[in-house]
Amino acid sequence: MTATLDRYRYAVVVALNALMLLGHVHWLPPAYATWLFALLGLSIWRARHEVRTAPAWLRLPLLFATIGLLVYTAGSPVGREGGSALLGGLIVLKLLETTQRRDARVIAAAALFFCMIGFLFGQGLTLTLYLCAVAILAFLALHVVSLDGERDWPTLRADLRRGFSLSACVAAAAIPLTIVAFVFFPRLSSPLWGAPWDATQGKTGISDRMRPGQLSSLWNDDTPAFRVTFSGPVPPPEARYWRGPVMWQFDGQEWSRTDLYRGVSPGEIRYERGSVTDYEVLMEPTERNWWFPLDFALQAPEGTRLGGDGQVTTFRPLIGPRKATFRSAWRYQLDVQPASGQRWAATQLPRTGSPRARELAAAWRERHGTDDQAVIDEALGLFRREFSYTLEPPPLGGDPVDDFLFNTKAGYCEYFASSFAFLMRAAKIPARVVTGYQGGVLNAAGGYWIVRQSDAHAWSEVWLEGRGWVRIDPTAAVAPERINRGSLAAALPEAASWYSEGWGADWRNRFDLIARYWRQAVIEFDAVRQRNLLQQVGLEDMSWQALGSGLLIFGGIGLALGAWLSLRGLGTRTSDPLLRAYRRFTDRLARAGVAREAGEGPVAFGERAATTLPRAAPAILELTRRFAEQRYGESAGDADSSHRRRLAQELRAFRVRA
Amino acid sequence: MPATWREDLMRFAERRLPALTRYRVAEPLPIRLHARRVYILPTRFGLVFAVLLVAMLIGALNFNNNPALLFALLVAATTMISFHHNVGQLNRVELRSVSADPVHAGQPIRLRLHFHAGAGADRPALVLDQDALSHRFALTAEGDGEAVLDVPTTRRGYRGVGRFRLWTDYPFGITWSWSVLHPDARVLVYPAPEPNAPPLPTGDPRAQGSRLRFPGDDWHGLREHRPGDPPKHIAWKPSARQERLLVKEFADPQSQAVLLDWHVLPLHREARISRLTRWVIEARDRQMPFRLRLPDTELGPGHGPLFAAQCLRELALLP
Repeated sequence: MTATLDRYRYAVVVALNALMLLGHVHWLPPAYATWLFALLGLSIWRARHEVRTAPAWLRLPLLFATIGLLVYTAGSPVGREGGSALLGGLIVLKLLETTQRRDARVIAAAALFFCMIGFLFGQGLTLTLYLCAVAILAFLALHVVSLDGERDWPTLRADLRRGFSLSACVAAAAIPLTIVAFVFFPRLSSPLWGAPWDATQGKTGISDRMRPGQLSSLWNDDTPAFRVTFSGPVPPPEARYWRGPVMWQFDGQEWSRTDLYRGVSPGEIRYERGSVTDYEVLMEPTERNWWFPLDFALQAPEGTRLGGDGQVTTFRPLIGPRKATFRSAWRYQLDVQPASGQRWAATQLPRTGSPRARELAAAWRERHGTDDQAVIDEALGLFRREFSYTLEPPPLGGDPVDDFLFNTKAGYCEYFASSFAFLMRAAKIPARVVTGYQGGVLNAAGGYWIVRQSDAHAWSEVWLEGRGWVRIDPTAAVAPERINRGSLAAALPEAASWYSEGWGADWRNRFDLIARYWRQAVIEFDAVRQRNLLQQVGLEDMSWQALGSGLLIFGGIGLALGAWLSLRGLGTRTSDPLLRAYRRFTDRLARAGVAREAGEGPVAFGERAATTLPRAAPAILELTRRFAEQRYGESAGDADSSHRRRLAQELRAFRVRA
Repeated sequence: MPATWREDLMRFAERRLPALTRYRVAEPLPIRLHARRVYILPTRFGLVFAVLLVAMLIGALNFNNNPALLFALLVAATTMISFHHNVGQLNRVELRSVSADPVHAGQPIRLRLHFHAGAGADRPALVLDQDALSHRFALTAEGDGEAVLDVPTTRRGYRGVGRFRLWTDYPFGITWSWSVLHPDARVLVYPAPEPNAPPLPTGDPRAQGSRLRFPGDDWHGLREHRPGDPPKHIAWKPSARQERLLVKEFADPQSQAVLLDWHVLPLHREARISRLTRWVIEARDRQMPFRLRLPDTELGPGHGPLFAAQCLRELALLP
């Protein structure tokens, strides 16, 4: 049966699409998202009088424009991001040729699918709740288009109200079944096909290249990078450096990693016993290959490798959230005897460029002879005296090192670390740049530490005779508060206080605690956790058959419970206000001791109630008579009559006076 | 909505499932639906939806993406619980009566099926089907409603109302549940009237002699005096005005009625019924009294719609 949509139902479907898109704006390219919303606006505008199919001369150019914009903004219409964005665009374009109920249903189903795709781009609690709410609205849309007859605004409003309570009630009743299925559903031990991972596209966090100015996108990114729970002693604030990629090579513009030390174990390491600590890191997905252990990791957990420069790498990118246990020592001496080639690699500079910086370094070297520490102090002194810390530094010209050192003299960690390492190498001191995070805030309620993206940091290490690799953080020389209170506080001392310390931080901590529970209970629930959980309740056998029968048994119970709850919950609901009022009336009588029996007619019940409650008898009989007349008599079905309304009011106002 | 494959499936189900065939025989009214005689299957959209759900589940499992899995499971569980709501729409619906105003064979008869919804939610989108006909209607919880189907008729006489299918794809259009109703009820179909029948056999009363019986008891009119008229029937005042003798004439009402006689019609059986039907309708519409003589009975004289209905019923039920 084909049924055409009227413009009210069409508007419901368009609204569903708008809400669906809202759940995706965090990853869709902004221009593309704006375009899709504009298409939704166009659909609504075209359907202002009646729902019509857009002519091909309109649909085809819009399709090409959408794909063109997608390629322009997202790079390609394939891959995880491009493919998902294309699907969203096609769903929105489908609206332009939707006139039938059948199309509307397909769109609602596709919207559900597209909502699920959103979890490829984020798995947070808020997003999950939002997308589940959109799912309820998709069912609401399915419900609204299922009803027949021409709609106007009041009837649509009634449909929406009924549909919403129905969909929400059914979805709420589905929660027990969902949880049972979630716990028992057999997990795949290995994926059926490859993960949708775009090798070219790192999303968040710190990359394996460093160019001054690059980290700035992270300052405002307040999402957690990882969470740390210490089982050993907690390092003091000035030691909370989380070691990421180590940059060895500099091409005049950009620092980059080398694979030279990936396969090598660290050289000799000496550490203070009192500074050794064990901790667990809960890593957010980065789609990159490295962890950020506390500087300096002594052991790498299973599945990772501790490289020669202290970097912990994985074989596969961290697509999903991961958890691992590390042991680190924060007071250590590394490579007092340098590994072969390290000193050479750490003094390489581009053949040309940055002449003034080289000159300056050569002058320091000449002044201090072989005293490396004195050269370092010169550089730090220079930074402290003449440089300023800002999150919005002026742009650098063609030679970034010289331009920063002698011209702009303002920047943040990357600028200082990069130029410091350059100066050191120019003075023949082996130096490298380390990126990672610095800081972390205790979530007292959860007993763990959060390190956020905005804590991203870059510092330098120099190799000194007899001391090995020594961490020098030139940013600390310029803005010591960066190390103590974070980058935002260093840049905006007064504005940031409420945010990072006052009630704002309090709320953020609470929210983060919930987010962590969510992460532990849901996001990280895998085959191993499933086994642990089920073994606790006595299920040893974890075969597909055992899980399947558990799913059937408990799922059946959950289904029956949900069906019973929702049918009962909705059964007492009716759109007829008179009947609702009459139920209130019978409820009151039931509380007074006269309950209406199943199948007992209103008149018979009224008479019985009147004999049992003689004091209220006249009122009971009168209301019953009028109710029977309105509901079953001549005027039954005339919902708008004022008699019915008045009777409903009186039924609601009825009291049994004891 | 019913596609051919679905009809095939229905037929197969009726062959295979005794529970379905049990309701193929007519059963007495009222018929109260309960969950055991309500059947449920996915709609075509429901099948698409199922494929989509499976794709969502496999995708979520493959990427080990637990929030996505939770989402897909929530959608699946909501869908499954909606099955119960779909069946609940028909559960406790009661067919209380089937009635119809008689029509003539060949005209569609308007069947009125009176339904009552038991406790539970409102039933806003019920559909009643018979063959290619369908009617959508709504019932509020514990309320009454009527479904109307204009069913074609071909033959006179009592007609069983046949099997109905009551179905709904409410609330989400993912599944449809149905139940077969075969009430033991019949409605009357009058014979078809002859299209171009000769006029009512009224004719000239005296020529035909069958229409009036003189003298009678009721006042009929004035006529010229004929020898032998009783003197007390002479209407003196009109006679004085007319300057000739007029008498008051009395006639029996019975003698006034048209006789519609089965036996005098030189036609075969159904054609006779058809012509008599036409004449009864005509006499009814002209408010004329008439008598109907049938092979075994004679009706009337009488007039008006009630008498006509009685006559039509007799005609309809002729063997």
